[in-house]
Amino acid sequence: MALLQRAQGERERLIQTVETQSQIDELAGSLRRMESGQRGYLLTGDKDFLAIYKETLPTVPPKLDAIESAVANYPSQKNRLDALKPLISAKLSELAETIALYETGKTGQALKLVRTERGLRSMGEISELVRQIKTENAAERFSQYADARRQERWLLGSNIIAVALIVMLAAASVLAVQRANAVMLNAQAVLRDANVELEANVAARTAELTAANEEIQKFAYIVSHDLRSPLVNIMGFTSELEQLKGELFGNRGADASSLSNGADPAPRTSNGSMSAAQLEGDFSEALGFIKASITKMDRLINAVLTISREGNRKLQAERIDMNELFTGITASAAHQSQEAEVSVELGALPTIVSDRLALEQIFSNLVDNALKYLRDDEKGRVQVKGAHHGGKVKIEVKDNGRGIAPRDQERVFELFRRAGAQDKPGEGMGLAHVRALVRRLGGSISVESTPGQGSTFSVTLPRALPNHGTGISI
Amino acid sequence: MNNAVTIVMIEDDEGHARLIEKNIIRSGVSNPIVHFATGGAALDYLEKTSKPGPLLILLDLNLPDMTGLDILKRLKAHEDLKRTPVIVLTTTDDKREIERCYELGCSVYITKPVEYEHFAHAIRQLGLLFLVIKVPETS
Repeated sequence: MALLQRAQGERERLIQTVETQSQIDELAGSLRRMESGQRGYLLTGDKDFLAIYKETLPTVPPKLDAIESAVANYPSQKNRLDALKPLISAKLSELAETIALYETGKTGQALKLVRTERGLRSMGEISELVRQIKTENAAERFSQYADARRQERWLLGSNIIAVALIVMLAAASVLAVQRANAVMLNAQAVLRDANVELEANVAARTAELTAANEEIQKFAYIVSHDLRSPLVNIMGFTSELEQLKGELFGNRGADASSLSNGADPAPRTSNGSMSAAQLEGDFSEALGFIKASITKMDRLINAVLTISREGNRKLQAERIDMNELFTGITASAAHQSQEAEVSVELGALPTIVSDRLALEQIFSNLVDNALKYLRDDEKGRVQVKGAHHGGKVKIEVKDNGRGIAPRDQERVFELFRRAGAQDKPGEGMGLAHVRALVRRLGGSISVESTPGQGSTFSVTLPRALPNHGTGISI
Repeated sequence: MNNAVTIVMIEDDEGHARLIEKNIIRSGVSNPIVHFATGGAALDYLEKTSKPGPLLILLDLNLPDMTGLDILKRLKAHEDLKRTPVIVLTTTDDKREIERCYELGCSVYITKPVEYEHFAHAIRQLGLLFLVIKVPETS
């Protein structure tokens, strides 16, 4: 920038010098024209010549002033100008004098004055000084020009360097960008590899999970079967024992006092041994407990089997109008709801693509529970509502029944677990089954409940059944 | 049922075998019952014993050495035994298993109920079936 400013200054100075040159030329020209005008007038008396003189006269002082200010910084030129000024004044006064003489009719005197050394010499001196000023000015101009040229060369040089720098910078940035690009491409390749690896990992994990899940299913199935086999024996031989008991104590049902084998009918309490009636009672009690336990175990095994079997079932996606589905469910529960005087209200429900059997089992279980666990002090009311949530639908089954204590709200979804008063028949597998089914359909289930006020079970399901493998069912 | 008809029972569970035997006898069937606890021993007996006479086979599916289905296949592929009635009596009540047994040519499929009354009833009914069943003579 400094370089540029300097070049600018040089250029202005150069222009100044050129202007001074022309002003000096003009000044000399003016003086010469005035002299010619004066001489022409003196010789011919023609007023036209006088006009030239008169026109030019006022232009001299401003030109002189201009030159003076232009050369103010150059002492030698100033000296010359100072020498020139009196010469010009003398010349001007000579010119004015001759014209004045001529006009007063003293033509001869005027011409004489012209011919004197004063007239001739003054003009010669003027010319000489003007020449000197011009030469000096030209020299000055030349040096200025040279300066300007040098300046320009500097400028050019610096420009070239700047351009070179720019080119280098550009090259450097291109290189940097290329390097960054290469790094990025490399990173992308690494990322792609990582992605492929990730997908492979996910696929492998999914396969492992599916295999593990299938194994669990198979395990549940085998265990339940293998457990059943000894149960058949226990039950079978317990029943055989029961028959033996009948033969031992006489097969006469409630008549316990009648004994078999003709034994002493009197109770043998004196020596501490039990009476036959007591024996039979204890026998019956023990057998009863054994049989009740076996029956319960059989039910539990059946429950596991059912869930395991459900997990193995292939899901079939179809369009299902939930309004229709719920109408069917409430119709089949109509007897139950009428008996318990429960009102069932169905809101507007969505249509989804899913497995019909699973949905029927899920919602009939929920409706069934709502109809089952009522409060004594209030008439039952079950409300079913549906809503869309993006790609999912949410279906709520709300009741005003007895509710579930907060600590039991997770437990009720566990297999064989039940909450609250155990005054209704059940295995404790309904909600476990429901949750397994909901998960298999790619959804989730939750419960909100206040004890003594009611429960709301919310089932969130995908609007369309996703590509399904074997869902976790237990 | 012809007195010459032998009932071959393939059942690994001694208790089940005993309960089945008891109830068959109670139903009035007096035919000899030959019991095998493994599939190998049973097949050995069936395939090697020359001309065992008319047979009726009671088969459990869950055996330690081979599955009942394998035995069923072997029996149905055997020239002399393929016409012998096979009654599958097992704890498995899986639908596919039942279908598979009938496809392979079992005559009757019965599930052993845990409830003993049902179990005893089923076996006695089976005994009654034995009394009227017509078993092909082995040539």
